[in-house]
Amino acid sequence: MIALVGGACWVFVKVWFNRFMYGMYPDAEQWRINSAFLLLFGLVGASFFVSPKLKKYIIVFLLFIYPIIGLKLISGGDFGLEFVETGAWGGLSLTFIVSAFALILCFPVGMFLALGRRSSLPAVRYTSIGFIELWRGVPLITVLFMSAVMFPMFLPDGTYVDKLIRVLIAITLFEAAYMAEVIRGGLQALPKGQYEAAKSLGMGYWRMHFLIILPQALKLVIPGIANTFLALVKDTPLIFVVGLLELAGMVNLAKTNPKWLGMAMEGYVFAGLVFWIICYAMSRYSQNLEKKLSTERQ
Amino acid sequence: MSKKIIELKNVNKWFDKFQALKDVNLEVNQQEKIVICGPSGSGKSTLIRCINRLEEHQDGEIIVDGKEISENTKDIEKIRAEVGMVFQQFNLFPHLSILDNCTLAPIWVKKMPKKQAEEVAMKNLERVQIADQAKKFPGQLSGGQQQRCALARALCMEPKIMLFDEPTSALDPEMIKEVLDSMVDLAKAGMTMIVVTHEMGFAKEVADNMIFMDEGRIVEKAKTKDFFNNPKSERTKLFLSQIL
Repeated sequence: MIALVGGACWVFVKVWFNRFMYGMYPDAEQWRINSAFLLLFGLVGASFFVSPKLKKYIIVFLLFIYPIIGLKLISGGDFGLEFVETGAWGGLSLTFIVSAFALILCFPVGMFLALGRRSSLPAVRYTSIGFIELWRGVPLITVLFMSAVMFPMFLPDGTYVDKLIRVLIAITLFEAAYMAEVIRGGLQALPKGQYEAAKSLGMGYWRMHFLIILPQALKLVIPGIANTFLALVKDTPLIFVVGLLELAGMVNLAKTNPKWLGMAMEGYVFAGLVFWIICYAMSRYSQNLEKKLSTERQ
Repeated sequence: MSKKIIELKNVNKWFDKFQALKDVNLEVNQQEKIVICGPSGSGKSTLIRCINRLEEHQDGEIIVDGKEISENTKDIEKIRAEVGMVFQQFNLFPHLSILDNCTLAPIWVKKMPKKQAEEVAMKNLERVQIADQAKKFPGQLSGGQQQRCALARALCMEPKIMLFDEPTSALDPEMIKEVLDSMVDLAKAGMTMIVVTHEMGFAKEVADNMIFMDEGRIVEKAKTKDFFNNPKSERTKLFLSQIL
């Protein structure tokens, strides 16, 4: 207990490191998380170096096939893999899982909400406005609480939706509402002439939006999108309210262990540093993307 | 040569309470070139924008290539694909290269194979003499080059009619000629054209008929020669005396 007298005690982080990374996931099965993430990072890394055509396939694989493989690998239950319930998932790996799923899902949902809010069909428009204003108007912590505690009460007896899935949906919809408003800002910034030029060439609503409007609007709001994504990653610790412990949650838990009392500072510094690295990397990536996509000026 | 391709009957249009078009009647034959002039706010742009329904008219009939345009028109996209338009502000797609600007609509709207679309695009870019700029982005081109690219982009859809909405008004004086030259070439190739412009030299060279509009009405429509040498209405005379 040298830490009490002076200097930081990083032994705390060292001893608990495994829990900070994997939560309560059984030690013997942790290779599954490792391989799932290695595959992810490998593919993402490779996509930067391969030809644009191959890159397209990798991205499609990452968006539509990888999530199934990754989830199956981690949750198990088939192919001779031992089933690990989501309650045992935790630590940094859970931070990544929650963030990644929410990021990927909230983007298209937000995009359609943004288009919906500007639709000329009143039913679509008012539904979108209502949805956005509802989710933007409530704190995330209440949404999470509702999703975990209240929502099951409305389900018929015997049906069960996994807590993690409920939380994922809640975070996704919550962030999608913010994303929608960011994207709407981009849509509104485009000159009317772009819509007219697209229409005059015979493009219908969807072609006009996917080929002309959205590529430009999304490029304009990359800083806003990055903002929302960063906020999302940093919102993930809130899932502690439903008993899911990602990195910050595990630190919280570890510091209450009687053997390790008084080690909160080291734990939080460690968690803070990890979050900072993740967020800084995302922020740099968004800046690079902005530069790469800029065609207005050389 | 005298087959009707556009017909407007008693067209009225309002922007809220302001009436932009008042009982406009107009017939355009195939291969005919019409130049519309008039003071700003007279409804010239609104008139041609009604022809491809970028603006909606509230009253009267507009028939383009045998199809009536109204709120019930389901395939307005098909009609628009046959009617090319060049805008005052070019409205090129800044996120796409010059070549992609030209191939996008043929590929996605006309379902043309990419290779063929690129051939058509290069042919049209050559026609407006900017084939060497194909790989650049709109932001890297001069105004005149951008407007010629916009013309090429419209031509790639192989339209039956071309509408020009003040194509040279946003250009530096020395770039106006290069755009007008491309338009003269197009006119000589037999395109049906409706041009809103104040370039009277261009009008005298290519127009079959001139239209003068004021306060939402067609004040005068006449053969180009008669229009300039012997205008009937006092309002036209006044306008011509000010701009010639």
